[in-house]
Amino acid sequence: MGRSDMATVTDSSPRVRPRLAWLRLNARAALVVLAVFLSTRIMLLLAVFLSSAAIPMPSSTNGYASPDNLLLDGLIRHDSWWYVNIAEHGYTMGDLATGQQGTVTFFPLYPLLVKLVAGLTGDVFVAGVLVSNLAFLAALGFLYGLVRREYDDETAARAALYLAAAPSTIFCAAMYTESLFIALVCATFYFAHRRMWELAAAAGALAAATRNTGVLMAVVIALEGMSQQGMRLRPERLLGPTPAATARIWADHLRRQFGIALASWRSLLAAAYVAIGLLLYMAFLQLTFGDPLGFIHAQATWGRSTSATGITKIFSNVVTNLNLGPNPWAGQLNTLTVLNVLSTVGFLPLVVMCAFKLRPAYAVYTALTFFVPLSTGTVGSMTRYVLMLVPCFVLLAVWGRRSWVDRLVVAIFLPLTTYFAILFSHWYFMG
Amino acid sequence: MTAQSMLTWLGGLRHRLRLLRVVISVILLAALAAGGALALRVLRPAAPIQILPGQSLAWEIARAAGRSEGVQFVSGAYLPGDRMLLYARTAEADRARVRNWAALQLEPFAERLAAMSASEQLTWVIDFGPPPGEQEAITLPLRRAADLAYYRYVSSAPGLLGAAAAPDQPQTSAAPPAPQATAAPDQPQATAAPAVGTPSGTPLLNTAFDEASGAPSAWLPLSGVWAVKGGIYNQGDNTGYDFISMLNVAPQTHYMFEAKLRLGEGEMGGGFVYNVPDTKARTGAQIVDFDLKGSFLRWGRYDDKGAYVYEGGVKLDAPISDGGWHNLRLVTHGAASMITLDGRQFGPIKNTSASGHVGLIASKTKVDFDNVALTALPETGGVPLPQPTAAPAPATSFRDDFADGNAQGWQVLSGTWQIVEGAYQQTDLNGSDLGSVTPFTSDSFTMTVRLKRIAGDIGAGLYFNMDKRDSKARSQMINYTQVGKAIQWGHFDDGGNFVFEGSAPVPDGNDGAWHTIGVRVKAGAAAFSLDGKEIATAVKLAYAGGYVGLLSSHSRVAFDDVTISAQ
Repeated sequence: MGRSDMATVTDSSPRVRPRLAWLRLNARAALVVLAVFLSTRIMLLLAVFLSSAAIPMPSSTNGYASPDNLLLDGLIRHDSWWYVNIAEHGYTMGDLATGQQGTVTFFPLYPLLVKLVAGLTGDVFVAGVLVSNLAFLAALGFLYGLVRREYDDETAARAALYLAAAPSTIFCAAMYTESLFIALVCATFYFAHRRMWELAAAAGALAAATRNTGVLMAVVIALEGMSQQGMRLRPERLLGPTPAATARIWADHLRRQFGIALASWRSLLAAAYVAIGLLLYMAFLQLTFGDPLGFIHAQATWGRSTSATGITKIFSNVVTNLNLGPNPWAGQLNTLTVLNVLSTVGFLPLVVMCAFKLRPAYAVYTALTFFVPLSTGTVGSMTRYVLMLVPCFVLLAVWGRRSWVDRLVVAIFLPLTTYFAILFSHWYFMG
Repeated sequence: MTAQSMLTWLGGLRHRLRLLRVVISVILLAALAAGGALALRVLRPAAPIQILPGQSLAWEIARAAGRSEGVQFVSGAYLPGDRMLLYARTAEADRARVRNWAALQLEPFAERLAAMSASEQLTWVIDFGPPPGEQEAITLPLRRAADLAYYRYVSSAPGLLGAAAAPDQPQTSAAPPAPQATAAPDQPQATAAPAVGTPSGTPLLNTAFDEASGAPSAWLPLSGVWAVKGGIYNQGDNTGYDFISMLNVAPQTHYMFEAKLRLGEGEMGGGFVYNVPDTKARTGAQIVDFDLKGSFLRWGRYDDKGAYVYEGGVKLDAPISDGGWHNLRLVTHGAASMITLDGRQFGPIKNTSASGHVGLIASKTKVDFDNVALTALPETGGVPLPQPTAAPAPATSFRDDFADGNAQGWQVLSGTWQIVEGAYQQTDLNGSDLGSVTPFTSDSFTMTVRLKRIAGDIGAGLYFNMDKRDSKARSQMINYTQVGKAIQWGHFDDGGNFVFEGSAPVPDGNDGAWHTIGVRVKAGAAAFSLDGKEIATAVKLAYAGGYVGLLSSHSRVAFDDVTISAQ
């Protein structure tokens, strides 16, 4: 071998090594995500199966999707049947006069996917569970990738584990829309963070077609784009020595921010595109029922309404819903309300801390996702809604670098996860 | 091309590529929106279905009924040209209240129901009470919802289904057991055992003992302390036997007599007397009542001296002395009767009188009666009786190890027969020649059966070559005698009198161990064996062939592994 040949071999090494390292890194990430997904799903399914086999169902159960398969059957509960209904029979507006509840309040992407997959599997229940779990796997993947970009692999793994082992994670395994929505939220965050605005726009639009709060992803994308360009809410110096100097400081600041906004045109366009998901659904409602805001109006058939002052009634509603008897320690209270209150109170500090510790886009998304449901005046279903506070799980993962925090989180989460799974599979409404 | 122009061209190309990427992105996002819009079309509501008047009526009834207190679920459906189906589940535990509730729910819709087709029926199935609950099936012509006389009820109680099977049901291989509950006989669907359901008929009495209808004048107490208290007809003396209150209604031949009863303090129970020849005396009457604190349903008769003669019975796994109300119904058609307790059927019972009066009875127990109803039935749709003279389906073998927990196919001749720990036991210590008979019949067969003494002096053995399944007259027998020290054989003549034919000493059979008796019959002669050893051969028989059964005298005996095969 001559000298030139040696040089060729030596020169090629630096180009090959980074690729190998990248592959190794991503293979490890995939394995971690898969391990988190599988371990938590197996634990959940075991709880569902063993409890369903051992503990009799309440006599007033509403139906069984698959009595011969406790694993599948235990994941089809409560709202699952509404998605089945939509996938099989299409939407209904509901009727206050007859008490028929309108299914248009459920956004279309999840039932649409279930219907499409059911065309392949031939079973709408299997399709529902398949869509939910594949979406949740994707959610964990995007979350891991997102956190790894900002922090490190360990933090990313913890964030994925905390989300997968969250107390109400059974909703991500069941035929519910949560896992798909979380996947699309994480995807939007991930692509926006990587400045892949087209993909962020697509993910955001799909999120907007999945849940009513999905349209918030427009704010996320816009804020993320502008903050990446260096946008700041206030100038470094708030006041000048004279009023004229102060005015000049603020004028310069606003001019600079306007320039930043112009430079962020791609993210702003992507943010605007997010509304497509909602607009398409509204167009569908207009064409089908003549009411583009049907998804809001039909809320009345569920006895819900949203108002700015609703949040002020939370305390009185909680007291009412707790239904405390003379001796609460004898079980004379509504445990579901207790769980909802615990979820709300437990996540409130995290939501507040997100504003100080995480990126502006995350903080805004978290605050809106947390407070919009509370604007109904109740803490109902907060056990489930907190699953969508993805940045809170990121914050927990960051704090989890301290081993005692990590152990505390896992010690709190895992027993509750099993408890939720057992109750859910036994037709107890959990959120 | 100069290097400068090359660089300019490359710069332009880079710019064009960025532009191309933007264009592609816009196209892809537009495609996503268009695809989403198209995909949404599959979630359009299903095409509206034409709503039939019967369908909306069924739903409206269901919705209205669902608002009642304690009702957990109501659903309705309409099958054009056939029937309207309603299903309800309610926490109400009282069957009578459930019936009233159902009628009240239909009342507001009576006019609209009256406009429906005359050929259509209404069937309403109601699950009620705490788990496992009970069931009431109500049927009526759809147009007659306002008229309670058209309501037919079929009751069942899943909780009783696990009770010991009635050994007195005449089940043959040719006639499989009838279902627990079937439709009323006026419905074409009721093809099996018409008397199992509720026949139509003319109400003669229906009293809830309220102020209006509970007039004591309808009742003629013969003995005991009978009084109407708080809408209940009560017999309040638990110190004596056979306290009877007769119903002052003309004698009937085809009728249904039913009542709710609740047992109070006492050691026996209460029930019905029926086919009573005279309202002033019990002689000749038949009785169906409870014994052993409501844990035993029995039937019998009073002989010409007024003495009680036990004829049969069945042990109930769930005694009715639970403080709750229980529904007892008797349907009789001249020759035979059927009993229904909380939806579970027993019988048929051969009638010793073809017709007569009816009344209530209580023995050594305080008993409450309510909702007593007597309904005259049409002569058609009689109780299916075993047909002893009809040739049974030829069978080449019969086996029963009673492992399935029931004694289907056996017909009790006399005594108390029940499955205990996987064996068939006759539990009466009193009485001789108590029997239970298989459907197997032949004049050439081999039979073996294992038996052991449980209590009393072993008198166990076999019937064979029986002329009839329901009579020991004209039959052969073999059994232990002399407290298990010998085996004897003989026959019962035309009058049922025993005629001794022979005996053989055997090892002590009264030892509580299992022993196997074998009989081989061929050409009018028999050979007998015990525990595999022949004890007699070529015994000439009085009767050459017939049914085969088990026999017990003055002993509680367990039988198992009955094996019969034709030769």
